[in-house]
Parts: sequence; structure tokens; C-alpha cells
Amino acid sequence: MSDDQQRHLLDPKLPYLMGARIDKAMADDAMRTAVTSTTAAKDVLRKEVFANSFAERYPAIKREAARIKAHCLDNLRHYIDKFAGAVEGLGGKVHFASDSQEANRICVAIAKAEGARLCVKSKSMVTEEAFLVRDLEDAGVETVETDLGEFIVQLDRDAPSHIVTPMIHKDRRAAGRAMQRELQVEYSEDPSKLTAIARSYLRDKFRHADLGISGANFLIAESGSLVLCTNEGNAGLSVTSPRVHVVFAGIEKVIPRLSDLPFFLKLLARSGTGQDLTVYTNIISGPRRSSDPDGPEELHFILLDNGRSKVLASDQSELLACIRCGACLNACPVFRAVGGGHAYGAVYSGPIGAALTPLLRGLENYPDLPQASSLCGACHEACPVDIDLPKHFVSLRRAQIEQQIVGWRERLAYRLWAKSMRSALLFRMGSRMGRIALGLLSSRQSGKAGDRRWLMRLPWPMKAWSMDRDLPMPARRSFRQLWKSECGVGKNG
Amino acid sequence: MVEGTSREHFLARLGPATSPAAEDLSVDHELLRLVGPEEDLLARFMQEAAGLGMQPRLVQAESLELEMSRLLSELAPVSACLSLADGQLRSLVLRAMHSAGCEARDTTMSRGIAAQYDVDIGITDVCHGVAETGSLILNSAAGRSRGAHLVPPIHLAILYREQILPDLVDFFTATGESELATAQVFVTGPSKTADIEGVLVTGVHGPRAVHILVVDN
Ligand code: SF4
Repeated sequence: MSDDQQRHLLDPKLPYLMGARIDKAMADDAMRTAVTSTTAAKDVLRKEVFANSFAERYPAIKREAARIKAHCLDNLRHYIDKFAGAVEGLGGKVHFASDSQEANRICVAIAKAEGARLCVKSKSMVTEEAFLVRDLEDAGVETVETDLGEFIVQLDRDAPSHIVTPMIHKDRRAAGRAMQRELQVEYSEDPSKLTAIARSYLRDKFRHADLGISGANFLIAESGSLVLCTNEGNAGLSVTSPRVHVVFAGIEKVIPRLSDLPFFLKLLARSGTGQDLTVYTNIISGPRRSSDPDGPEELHFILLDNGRSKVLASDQSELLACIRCGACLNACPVFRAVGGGHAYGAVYSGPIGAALTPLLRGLENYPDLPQASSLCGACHEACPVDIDLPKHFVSLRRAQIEQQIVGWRERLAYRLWAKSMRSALLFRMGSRMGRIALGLLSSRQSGKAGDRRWLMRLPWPMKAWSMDRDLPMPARRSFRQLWKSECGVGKNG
Repeated sequence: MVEGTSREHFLARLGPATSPAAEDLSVDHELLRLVGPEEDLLARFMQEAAGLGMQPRLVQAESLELEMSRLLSELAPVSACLSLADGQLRSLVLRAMHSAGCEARDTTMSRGIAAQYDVDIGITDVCHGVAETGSLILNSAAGRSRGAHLVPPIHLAILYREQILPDLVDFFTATGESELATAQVFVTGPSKTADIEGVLVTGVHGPRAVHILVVDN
């Protein structure tokens, strides 16, 4: 299945502007409701489990986890080298890929060398980033997503919309229709029935697959181990049954020692799904040994740079500490308002995606993403490794202004505003004139909060800017005017 | 085979080489501790495991064989695969299976993982239990199988009371662990998903039921 639609959704033509997909999401109440209710429930659950477990110790644990990650990133070269050495010592092979095309070429070459025809794959964001499935299918290797959500998304030739719960934008009817159409089974809306259908279809695939592909939640430098955290058991099956196991991993996944792992295990599941631990935590150290009764005979790691070394060298390297728990997506009001991940036009969505994508793929290619935040701070509060995401949005916005990516008119407007803020007279004049002018442009909107006038569209030169923004009209009388009349403060007030 | 970027080139982009002295990093594991050794580990384990939807059952060592054959009669599997390193335990399990009318398929060495897809139950020993989370920790070392706990629709685990660790942290900070097994897995509940509208469904790809016989010596 060469997936044109997926290409289009998460790998759009660049530069990518969010407007069209936001409009689409705005028109799709069902999708926005689904995304909002699921993320809001997860957000509440996350707070509860942390309060019930670590309580007041939580901030200190976050800082400790952040410190371990910062240490890894500061010494990433050393730990990647060490990891590679340890894997080779166990009989595995490590490949280094500068970009995603190279990673896919290596993977396709391994598949061909092994004569692989059927590949089972567990959920992995980095394989999404590389569009690996597309390249494997083009090379004639049937590749099946085995995570239930990813499987349904694949049946629909759709794209994941959340880094942890990929079909957050779909409901049970969509799942039922996809299975009915693609697997020729009877239509059902019952999640247990749908799950049972997927189970029996995929068991057959697991059983006969000759290649298993997984991502990595963590890589352990000292022991050369791979750590996978899942709930369904599909990762375990994907990397136990087939003869060859290929791991795709970004370089930022490495942590120093096995003894550092409990920090991340205890944080990841609580942050992602509100569990104490995912159902399955697999620690895999090398290919099958002669004393092992089962397991893959070959183990390959493909370590991917794909822009990460640039981020590492920048003053935004902290973003590489992300453990992809999805908590910031669940906490983000913008993520909910835009109906989930597709609006971000890239594999990583939500706050972490909005900060990371411009760095990985070019700020000029994703000029809207740094603005896709209200800077409310919910993402920073949610992050178990203490990444100060709002700070990164501000940095990116500053870079945009410096690189003149923001249009000259917007820059001009900000400059005028900055100037007026410095002069009381100019500010007063400006705000009074502005209020009169805006009054002429506004319209009364029903359905928006209160019976207030709203600015929906502004004329040139502000037209483009106002397309994606609705603003309430400023109050009829300014604060200064009110202050003067209500409180009787003198002229100098 | 396509060669990727050379290791030297790849590493060079990650900055200058640092000395191994850079590895100095001490962390405070006690921050993470939720269960201490002073707690009633057995009670906590039973409670956590049951809370996750597993089915723990406490048995006395001398009645293990009887309890196991009772449980097998209840579950009525036709065939089983075994992943048991200890010879004595293995014979005990085989006797219990025999009296429950269940056939053992030796999938561990000779027939590989494919055969595990056809059996009704996987019976395994474990290395540790974790009181904090109700998890079972399984190792593939010493002739144990990687698939036995995962492939069949039911998993039956045998855990000895003294194998229960207080906290996950204790597993990772235990010194003197022997060589790392090829595959270790922490099993914390039956296989589950909430991918379709957040509705919880158990038994997706892995087993839908996990029975644990907790043996008290
Ligand atoms: S940035 Fe933090 S909260 Fe967001 S996915 Fe990464 S680790 Fe989780």
C-alpha cells in the first residue's frame, strides 16, 4: 500500500501552514469532541496518579530525570559509541543513518538480504518520521502495523494523530467501517468484537512474519539493551516470532545505565496513560543465544540522526530529552482546539511537536508551529522530564522575527505597538483611534461568549493575519477612561 | 548490504569526544521508592496483581501440585507449553497436567515459537514479583522461552513468596545480578488496549488471563 494520503497528512508540501486543517477541524465537531474528551480524561488521570503516588516528591523526581537526560545529551557521543560497542559485543549489529532516507535504505537492504516478505511492526514514532512502511511496501515487503490503533489507522490509509494514542481522532464506527471494508468482516461497533477481529487477523501475521520491526523507548548504553513499553503485547510478539528483528531509534533514546531506567519507567506510564507501569516492559539484550529456545537470530539497530545533531548543537537541545509520553499533548488547549495531531502537519504534534518540528525540518517550513501555543504553561507543568516548552516557543518566535520569517506587516505592527507602549500620549491616541476603527470592522457573533462584538476579518494589510484569528472587540471604554470616571482619579492617573 | 554513514562520521556530528570520566553521574534511587522492605510484601503483591486484573492465588508449597491440577481442571486447556528452568518443578507441573488431562507440548527447545500459537496455556516460572506494581519479572535465560508467557491465550505463572521484591527500584539496584538474559519482561496485568474510544479491552495480542500461583514455603 503506497500511502499517498499519509504522505499528504504528515509529510505535506512545504512550507506548511496550519490554516486549512484548522478550518476543517473547526467544522468537525465530532472529531474535536473525541479529541477533547479523551485528552482531558487522560490529563485528569495523570494528575491523580502522581498525587496518589509520588505526591510532593514529584518535582524532585522530575528534576532528577531531567538531570539524567541532560547528562546523556551532554555526553551523547560517548554514550552512543558505548551503546554500539555493547550491542556488537552481544552479537547484534548497529547501523548509523544520517537521515531517514538512509535509514529506510538500510532497512530495505536488510529485508532483501533476508528474503523477507512479511513484516510485523510495533508502534514507533521514528518509523513514522521516516515513512518506513511506505518504503518497505514499495520494496515488496508486506508491512503490517500491529498496535490496534495503528492497525486501524493503516486500514483507513489515514495517519496517526497522537504520539501515544494514534486513533484519537476516530470513533468506533470508523474502526468498524475500516474492518468491514478491508477485512471483509461483519460490521460491528463493539470495541471487544473489533479487538477480537484484529487479534485473529494479526496472530496469523505474527506467526508467519519473517521480519519484526520495533522502535525503542530507551536504549541502555552500558549493556546494549533495548527497552520497549507496551500494553497490548504486540511489541513482544513482533520481536519474538520473526527470525530478524530491526530496531529503529533516534539517537536521543540512549540512557547510561540499566539502573537509570526505573526513573523513566515510573514516569512514562503515569504520564502517558495513568498506569503505574505499562503491561509489558521488555528489556532485550542481543539476539538469541545458543541456550535460548526462541527469539530472533538477528538483531539490527538503525540509529537515526535526521536533524537531531543540529538540535543537539543548538541552545534548544533540551527538547531531545523528551520521552514521548504524550502528556503535553493531553494537557494542551491548542491541541484540543485544532482537533488533534493532523493540524500540525508533521509526525510529532502537540506542544513537543510544535517546538521540535521546526528545528528538525526547518523553521521556514513550519512558520505557524511556534504560534500554536497560548503559552499557558500547561505543557511544562505536564512534562515528566521538566522541559520548559513555552520557553522554546518564545525562542522560536524570536528566531522567526530575526530571520524575518514573520511577514513585514506583522513586524511593523509589533514595532509600532512597542513604540506606543513607551509613550503615554501615543498609546492613548492609538487605543482611542483603534477602538473607533475596529468598531467599524467588527460584527456581532452569536455563539461566541457573551453578547459581544467580534472581529472576524480585517482588511488588507491585516487580512491574512486575521484569517485564522477571531478577536473579541476591545471594551467600549478603555481602562483609563473607566478609571477616570469611576474612581475620580485626576489627570495624572 | 547498503552501508549507512560510518560510525566516525556519525559520532563526529555529536560533538567532541568526551572522556569516560564524563560518566560520573550519581542518582538518588530512594526518591522513587513507593514500597519499603518493612511492608507486608505478600499482601501488597496480591492486592496490586488482583487490581490489575490478574488472578493471584496463594498456595502452600506442599499443596502446589494439587492446586495446580485443580486450576488446570477449571481452565480445561487441551495443551500447554512450558517454560520452567527447574527440573523438579517441571516434573511437578507435568504430573499436575497429567491428572488434569492436559497434554504438554514441549515447545521450549525442539519446535520453537510457532508451536506456541496452537496451545491453550503457557506455564512459566518467574524470577521476581514486585509488590509495588504487582508485576512479574520473567527471564529468557537458562532454557526459558520468550514466547510462553505471551503467545498462548492464558498465562499461568508460578511465583515463590521469597521472590517478591518491595519496589521496582530494588530490581534495578540489586547488585551481583548474574549475566543479563537475552530477554527480560515485566508483566503487569493481562494484555490490554483502550485504543477504540478509550474503552478498555483485555486480551489484545497477549493473554487475556494471567493466573499466578503464589507459593508460600
Ligand atoms: S515534551 Fe515532555 S510531556 Fe511532552 S511528550 Fe515529551 S516528555 Fe512527554
